[in-house]
Amino acid sequence: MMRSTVKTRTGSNYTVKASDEWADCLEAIAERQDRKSFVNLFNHFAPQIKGYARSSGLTAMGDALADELVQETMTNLWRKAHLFDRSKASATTWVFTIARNLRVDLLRRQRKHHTTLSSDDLWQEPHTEGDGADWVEKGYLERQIRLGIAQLPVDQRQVIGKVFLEDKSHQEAAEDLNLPLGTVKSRIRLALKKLRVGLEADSNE
Amino acid sequence: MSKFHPDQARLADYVAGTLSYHETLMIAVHLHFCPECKAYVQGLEALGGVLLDDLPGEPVSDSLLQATLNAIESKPEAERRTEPSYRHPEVPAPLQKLVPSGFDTLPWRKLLPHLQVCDIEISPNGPKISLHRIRPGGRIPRHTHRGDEYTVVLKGGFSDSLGDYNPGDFLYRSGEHEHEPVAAESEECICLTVTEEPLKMTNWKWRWMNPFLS
Repeated sequence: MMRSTVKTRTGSNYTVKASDEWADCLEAIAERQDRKSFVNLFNHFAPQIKGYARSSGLTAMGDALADELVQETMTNLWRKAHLFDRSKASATTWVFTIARNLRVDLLRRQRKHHTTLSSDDLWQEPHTEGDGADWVEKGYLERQIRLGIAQLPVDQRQVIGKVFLEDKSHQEAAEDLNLPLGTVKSRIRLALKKLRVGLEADSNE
Repeated sequence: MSKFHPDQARLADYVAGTLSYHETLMIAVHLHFCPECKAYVQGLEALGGVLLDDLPGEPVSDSLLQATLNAIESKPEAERRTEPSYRHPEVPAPLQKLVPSGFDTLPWRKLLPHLQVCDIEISPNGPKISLHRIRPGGRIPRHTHRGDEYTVVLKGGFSDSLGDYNPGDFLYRSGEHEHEPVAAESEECICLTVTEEPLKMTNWKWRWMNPFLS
């Protein structure tokens, strides 16, 4: 598949400045193994990844695992920087997918749950070729999601946060929030709909 | 284009990384066929990024930065962009490692006159991941499953009383669901299936099979 031209086609100036800065850092690493950019990335993302490790329950198995997730994710960013393509995903999205994959692999290793396929087989990274990627005008999508989250009612925001960043099934999220399972499910559905993650109206749900 | 999709909450769990191994695999295979769900997943990943960004960070020690710098020092070579290795055109990318040289070379075993099965991954702490292959026009006697069952059609198609299924279609059926699938006439049908328990014949003519279906 040819490299898409989304980047040059979208003239409007909607991209959040900060995320451009991180994309610049990744490109500097890809082009000239720039350590200073790496330290910048580390200072920004390492605390978030550690926060993610804690919220998703990794630390229940010891604090060392949180640090391991941070170190592995950051090392992966360094090694895979040349695969980053800002026309396919923002730096933040990319970091999220890498941290998620490593978190799943770490947990499987901890639980000695041996499987033939690893995370890289089960989740296609946003940089890999993909049809369907182009119509998702990513900058637009992300800005919309940011705005949407700020406007979500607090109960929906809470459920979405639990589902994404905590290792919770819908049932467990319901128990945490002291709500019936059906309520949790309908809040998730409502929140996803409001965030218009799919851009197109999801009439078939 | 597939017509039967996983629901959006399940896709959100896939993106969050909280589904079981076999559910994750079934969704990954569906995405291979379905640009619509793939685009939706990309949106969910962007949402994951935004949520990560909003998370209150936790202080990280200087020694961790130092250790990470040492780690990248010891692996200075950037990973080369690897050319996609050869894969059999029939086999969706996520299944490559489990079906490295195409469906025909697998050790199929005959379960019924029209039906062959091959377990492609068996793990002690999870359900079996299998392929089922039905001859063109083959009819599988009415049965239920003793546990929940996931199916993704990989090749050909089949029908039951609820619909016609084509490559990429994702089906989730609870254990009580009873069906009598019939493969399309034009070609054989291959499905990826995860069943928590083996199928159970309900048609009286075939009930004697039940003890042998494990």
